[in-house]
Amino acid sequence: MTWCGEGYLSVQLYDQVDIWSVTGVLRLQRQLSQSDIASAIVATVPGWTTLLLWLEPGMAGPGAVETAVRQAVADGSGGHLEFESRVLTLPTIYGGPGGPDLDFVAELNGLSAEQAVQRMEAPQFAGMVSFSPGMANCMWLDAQQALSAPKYESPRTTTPPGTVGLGGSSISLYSVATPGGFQMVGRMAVPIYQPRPTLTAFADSPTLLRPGDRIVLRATGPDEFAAIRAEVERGSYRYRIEPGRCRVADGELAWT
Amino acid sequence: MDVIRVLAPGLASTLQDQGRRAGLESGIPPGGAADYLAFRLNGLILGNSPDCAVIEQVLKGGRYEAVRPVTVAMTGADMSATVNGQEIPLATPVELHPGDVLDTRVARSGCFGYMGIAGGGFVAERVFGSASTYLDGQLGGLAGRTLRAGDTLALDTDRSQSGRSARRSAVPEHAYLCVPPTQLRFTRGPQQDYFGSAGYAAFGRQQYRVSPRSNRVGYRIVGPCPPIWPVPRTRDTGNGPTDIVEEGNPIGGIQIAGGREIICLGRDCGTSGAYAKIGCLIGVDVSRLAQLAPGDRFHFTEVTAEQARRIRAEYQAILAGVEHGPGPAVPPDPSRQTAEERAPERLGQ
Repeated sequence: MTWCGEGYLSVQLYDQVDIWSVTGVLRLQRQLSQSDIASAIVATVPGWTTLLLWLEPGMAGPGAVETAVRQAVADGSGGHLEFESRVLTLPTIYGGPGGPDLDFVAELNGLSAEQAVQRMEAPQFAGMVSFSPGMANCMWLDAQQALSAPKYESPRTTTPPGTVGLGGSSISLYSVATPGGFQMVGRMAVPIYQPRPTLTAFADSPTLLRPGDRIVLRATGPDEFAAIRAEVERGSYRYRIEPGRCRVADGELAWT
Repeated sequence: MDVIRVLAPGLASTLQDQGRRAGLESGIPPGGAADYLAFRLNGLILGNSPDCAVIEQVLKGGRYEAVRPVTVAMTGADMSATVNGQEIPLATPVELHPGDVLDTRVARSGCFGYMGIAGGGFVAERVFGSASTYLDGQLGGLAGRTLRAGDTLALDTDRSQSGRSARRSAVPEHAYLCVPPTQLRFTRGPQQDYFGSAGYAAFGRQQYRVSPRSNRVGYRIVGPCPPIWPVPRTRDTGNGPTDIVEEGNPIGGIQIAGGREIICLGRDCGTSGAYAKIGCLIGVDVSRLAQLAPGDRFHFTEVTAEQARRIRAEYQAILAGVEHGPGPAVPPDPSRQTAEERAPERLGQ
C-alpha cells in the first residue's frame, strides 16, 4: 500500500485482472465500510486490482489506517461475499460513424466484424463506475469471449457521449464528452448519465450504472437505433433492468 | 434576491465552493475551488462557511454590476479589481451600491481569483451537497456551465454563516498575497517501479512550466519527461510505456500519459485512470499549483507522507488563526467548533 500525498492510500490487492480481483476489491471496500476506520474514510474508488481510499485527515492516524486495511485483507481471503448484480440491456449500434475502430479491432483479434460484434454482445461485468460521471468500466464475464486492443498512443481530446470503447481487455461506456484513449467500436442508443433527468431511470441519481451490475450491449440496426433514440427524446424510454445477485463462496461464483 | 449582474464573464468563470464528497463513487470528482486556501480566506473575510458559492475566475476576470447593495471581497490571483474605475485592495470587504461596476482584468500574478459576497454566497444548483460547477459533467453552479454576459446572480440566504468576519490584519501577508510557488511538493506514487531512482533523480532536477493547455481537469506540465523503466507488461496493462491497470485517481496525482506527457490531476479530473503516476502532490500544493500561470517556472520536490501531514497541519493553523485572530492556541471548545474543524478534509484537497 502507498500513501499518495497525505490524503489518499492506494491498496494493491492483486497482480492480475479477473473476476476474482474485481470481486475481491469490492469485498475490501465493503469490509472497510464496516471497520473501525469507517468514519475516517471520505470515499473509495475501486480499481481492477486496487482500492483507493480518500481519507479524512486527523480522523485516524496513518498507522491505524494501515493496520485496519491489513486486517481486512487477512480476514477477507476465502470468506463469503454476496452483492447485488442487476442485469441491464443497453441497445448499441456497432461500427459506422459511432464505432470507427470496429474493423481495426476485429482484424487485430483475427475476426470478421460480425464475429467481433457477437463477442461484444457477451455479458459484461461493471467492476468500476469511474473516470467520468456514471461511466462504466467492464470486463467480460466469460474471459473466453474477451477481445483486446491497445489504447490510443495519444489520448483523444474528446469522445462522443454513448461511445463503447475497448482498451486492453476492458470495455468503457462513455457517459459524457471527455478525453479518452480506448478504441471506439460502437455507440449506445440510450444515455447512462442525465444531470437534469428526463427519463424516470434517473429520478434518484444522475448515473444509471453501479459497480457489480451485469451489462449486455445488444446490437441494433440503424432503424431500431433511431426508433430508440426517438423514445429517449420523448422521455418515454424504459430501460430493461432485471434484478439479480452474485454470491462468491469457496472459490465459486454463483449468479441469480 | 438578485444582487449581481454579469456584464462580461471573463475567460472561464464558474461558481465554486469547497467541493463534493458523495459523488466520487459514481464517477463524479470532488471538484471545488482550485485554490482552496484563497477560497477559504475569502469566506473567512466575509463570514461565510465553506459551502457558500463564490465566483472563480481564471487568468482573466469579468465585469459585474451590483443590482442591490452587497459586500464583496477578492482573493487569490491579483486581477487588478476596480470599482467604478477605482482600484480596490485584495482580501478586504468592499461595499457595492446599485449601479456600481466591479471590473477585473488579466491576472498580474497567480491564475485563479475568487470573488465572494457576504451573507451566504451565490445561489447555485447543488448536487451531492455542493454548489461547485463541474463542466465536463454539466452539473452544479449555473446549470453546470461557465458564467455568461446577462446572467444575474442571487444571494443564497440559506447558507450557514459565522456572522462575523476575520480582520484583514489577521491574514498573514503570505496567505493573501498570491505568490506563484517555485516548488511543488509530492510523495512517490504507487508506480515507483516505472521510474526507478534514475527517474526520480531526473524529475527532481529539471525545471518545469505549466502549459496554457491546462484547466480544472488537469494541468499539463511542460518540461523533460523523466526516463521510464521498461517494466514487464501483462495482457491487462496495454502496451504503452506508462500504461497501467485502471485504478482510482488521487487529486494532485502526477500522471505520465503515453510515456511522455506530464499531467497533474486537477479537482475535476477523471476519478480513475490508466497511466502511471510518478507521484502525488501534497494537498496544500494542489492549491498552490492552481496559482501557476502558463510560463511560470517551478521544480518538483519529493517529501514523505509524514512531512505532507505536517505541512497540512501548518496551513490548517494559518486558517484557524485567521478565523480566531492571532494569539496562543487555546484548547478547542466543542460547542464552538470552527468550520475548519467540522470539515477538516477540505484543506487543500
